[in-house]
Amino acid sequence: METTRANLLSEATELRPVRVHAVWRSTGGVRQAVRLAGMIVVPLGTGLLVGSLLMWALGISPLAAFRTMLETVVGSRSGFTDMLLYATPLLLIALGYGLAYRARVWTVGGEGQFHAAAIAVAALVFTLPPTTPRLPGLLLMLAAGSAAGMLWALLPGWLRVSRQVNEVVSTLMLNFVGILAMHWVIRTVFRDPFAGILQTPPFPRVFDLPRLAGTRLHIGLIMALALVPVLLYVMHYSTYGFRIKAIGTNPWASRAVGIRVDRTIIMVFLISGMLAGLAGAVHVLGAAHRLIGDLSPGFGYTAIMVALLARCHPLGAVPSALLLAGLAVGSEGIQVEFGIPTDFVQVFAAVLVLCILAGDTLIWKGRSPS
Amino acid sequence: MINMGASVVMRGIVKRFGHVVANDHVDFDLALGEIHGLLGENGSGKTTLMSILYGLYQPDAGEIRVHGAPVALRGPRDALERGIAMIPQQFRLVPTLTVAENIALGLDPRGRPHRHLLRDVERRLMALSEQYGLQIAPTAAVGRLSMGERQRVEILRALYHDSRVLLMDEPTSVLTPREVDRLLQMLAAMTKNERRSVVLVTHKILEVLGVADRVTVLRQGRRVATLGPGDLSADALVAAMMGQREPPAQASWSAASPRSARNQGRPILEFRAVCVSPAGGSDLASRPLHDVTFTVRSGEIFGIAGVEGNGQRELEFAAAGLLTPTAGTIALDGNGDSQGHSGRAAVAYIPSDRPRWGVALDLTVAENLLLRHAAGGDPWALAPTRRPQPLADADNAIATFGIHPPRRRALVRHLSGGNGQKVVVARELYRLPAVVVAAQPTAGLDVATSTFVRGQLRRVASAGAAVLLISSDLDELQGLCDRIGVIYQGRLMGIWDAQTVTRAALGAAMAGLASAGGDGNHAGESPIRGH
Repeated sequence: METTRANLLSEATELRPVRVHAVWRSTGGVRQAVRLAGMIVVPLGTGLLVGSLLMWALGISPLAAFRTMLETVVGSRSGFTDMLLYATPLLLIALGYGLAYRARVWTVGGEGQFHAAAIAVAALVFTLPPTTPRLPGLLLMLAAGSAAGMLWALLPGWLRVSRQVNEVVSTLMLNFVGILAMHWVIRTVFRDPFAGILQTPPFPRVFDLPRLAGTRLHIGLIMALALVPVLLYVMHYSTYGFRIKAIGTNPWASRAVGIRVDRTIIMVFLISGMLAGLAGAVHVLGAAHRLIGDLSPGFGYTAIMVALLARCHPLGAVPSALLLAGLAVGSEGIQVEFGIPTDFVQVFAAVLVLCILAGDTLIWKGRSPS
Repeated sequence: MINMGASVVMRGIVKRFGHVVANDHVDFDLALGEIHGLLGENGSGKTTLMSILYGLYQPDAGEIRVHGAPVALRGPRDALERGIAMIPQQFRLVPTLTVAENIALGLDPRGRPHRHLLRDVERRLMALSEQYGLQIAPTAAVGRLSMGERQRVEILRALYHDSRVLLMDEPTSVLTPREVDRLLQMLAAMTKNERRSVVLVTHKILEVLGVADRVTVLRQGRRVATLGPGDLSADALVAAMMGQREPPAQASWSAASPRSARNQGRPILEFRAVCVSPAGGSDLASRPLHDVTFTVRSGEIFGIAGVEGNGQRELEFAAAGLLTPTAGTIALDGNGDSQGHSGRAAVAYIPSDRPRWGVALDLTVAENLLLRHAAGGDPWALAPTRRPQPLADADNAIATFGIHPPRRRALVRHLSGGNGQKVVVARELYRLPAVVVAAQPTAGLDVATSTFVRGQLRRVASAGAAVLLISSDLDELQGLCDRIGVIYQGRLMGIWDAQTVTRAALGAAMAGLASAGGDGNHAGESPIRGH
């Protein structure tokens, strides 16, 4: 997807008159910069503009609001930490989405896979004896979370391949199943009898993910960042990534040359499910330390925007995860300061994605009909 | 031939698409009250001619007169206003709407509420349906109608507008035999009783013979003949469609490798009593295969001739391992099975539908050339597009096969059709495969590229490949093949030696006229037949 779009952009430039074209080609750096601007700065700018208009309509100075957001996020150590904690599951899920979208597998099932993993982790936490050695226990829990995410993704994958069931619908539905299954598990099995809200007792401290020195950050962040080059290799350098790209571009031709299309698509579902499951596991073990009714503020959905903003590129996922995490955390600042509901930031993020998609459509329209 | 009864007169129609001349000074007359067959192979220009008459294309030269008055048809609306209606091959109907709603879609309500318009439309459709015995309920949802019924809805639409001229593009391709009879009866009634005129665009010889008053044959954009009641016969039509000339430059084609010498290898690709269900999909030209048996030997080019839509696509897909036979087996190299991805990986395949099955338009030339590398090997290893050796191979293939532009990072979407085909041919034939399935490999290509592609097929055959060549170009088949089988209505009519068979014999078999393999004019081998 990313390359298709990129190619469209380069094509759009190639359609210009010859003279401009020549100048264009001779200044590769400028061309790259303009391409980047078209892909990121323009939608971002438009999103900011629309967001500002919204705030202005609410009677708030956009400038002041944005300053507050910025101060919330980078002005304080705790805000910055919050942003990184928020960005960790976003990044993990978005890496999986990016891979899937490149194969034209439009999964939106990160939320359900995240919660399935949370259930699996909690089940282990509450059944393993507290004397379990820490490292094997944690590894087992991370593996169980990943496996639960894969399992949650296997069903829509199988339905897509064998029954031609649209994965947008099936993964979306399984999100609700996942969230409600977790609620059910909390309520019936692991409920904290002393709490007024829907949550389990806190996990034993022994099962906390290791922290980064002197912060609330956990090694999930390191794992997510370490997976970025791995995904970069898989998607853009490996034969497997080439297969995914081929299938996403033309599944029929891919099949005709002997690529096992169905098997590869199942694999794509499993990998994206695994990453979302890992996100759920690290978030529960590293940040939440218990199951709680609103465990995820919609990580699985925000990650869609992260992946789209990053054009499905693993490297792009890092800044866009930070950006959307920053927006989410920053919006809490403006809620305190100005009394705008945090939902506002969802509007802003959605506008952002709309601008991205609209931009792509405009580029499509600029193509010569052939 | 311009007389008082002329409904449409087209004179000297020229239409070019780039360098391709689709219509080359074509004259066409349509008399009042006649059914006029327009016959020709694919790419002969018949659809272009009808699109011009329906206003979809503007001719580069020539004159059109409708009922004696010169007209300029700038769009379908102009054509409709002059009473010309098109019944297209792919129906323009919304399945979720009713018949009446579909027909009301194109109407100007003139300020009336939609339901009033709809009520009027329903009333008139009911009357028309009864008058013509169409048996279409105006309130029926189109999605629930059969293909034949949908076609009658299209005809209803033309009648609703009281069109005097009906252009029907391959009208029988979607119909069952009973529906065909019914349609033809109806057309006969409409022309004889009401002096409407019908153009029947088709490539089916037998069909036009039965109903058409006259038949115009187009070949390679030119009108070859218009046959009237006196001289209309299957033989004459076959002769006009295929052309009487001998295969051009056959000597030079076969000079490169003496074909008789090649015909000695062991069996590589074997069809044993293969039956296949129709490929279906959006393509309407699908037909089941029955009991198809033949063997392609190493070093041999085996041709399949036939008029399009007689099961070639099913044969192509089955041979390429994309369709599983419902009965019979397809064997590769004696015992291997062509089914499954391993079969697909083993068979070099040049598909007839290149943008779908041949290339990925939004991948680069290099990626398309290396697509087969993606199928096998260690998935976690460095991609072929990232390794120097495969890339050097790709560059080499670009140079050897003359792919233009010679840039491996060019998107195939930006390549011409001929160069896109070169990409497919280069990928499939570069490494001398053992089995080749080539379907319409030169369709739509210019002469130079066609010659090149044919040369490549001959090259791999000389090197020992078993080549199955499905083509509707008889010149190509006779120039390249060792043996030719003719397919008609999903059955193999017979197999002939390509050098001794006459064009008339092939043409007759293609029209379903000959008893299978009737000539038996081949050395030492009887036609291989199904059971």
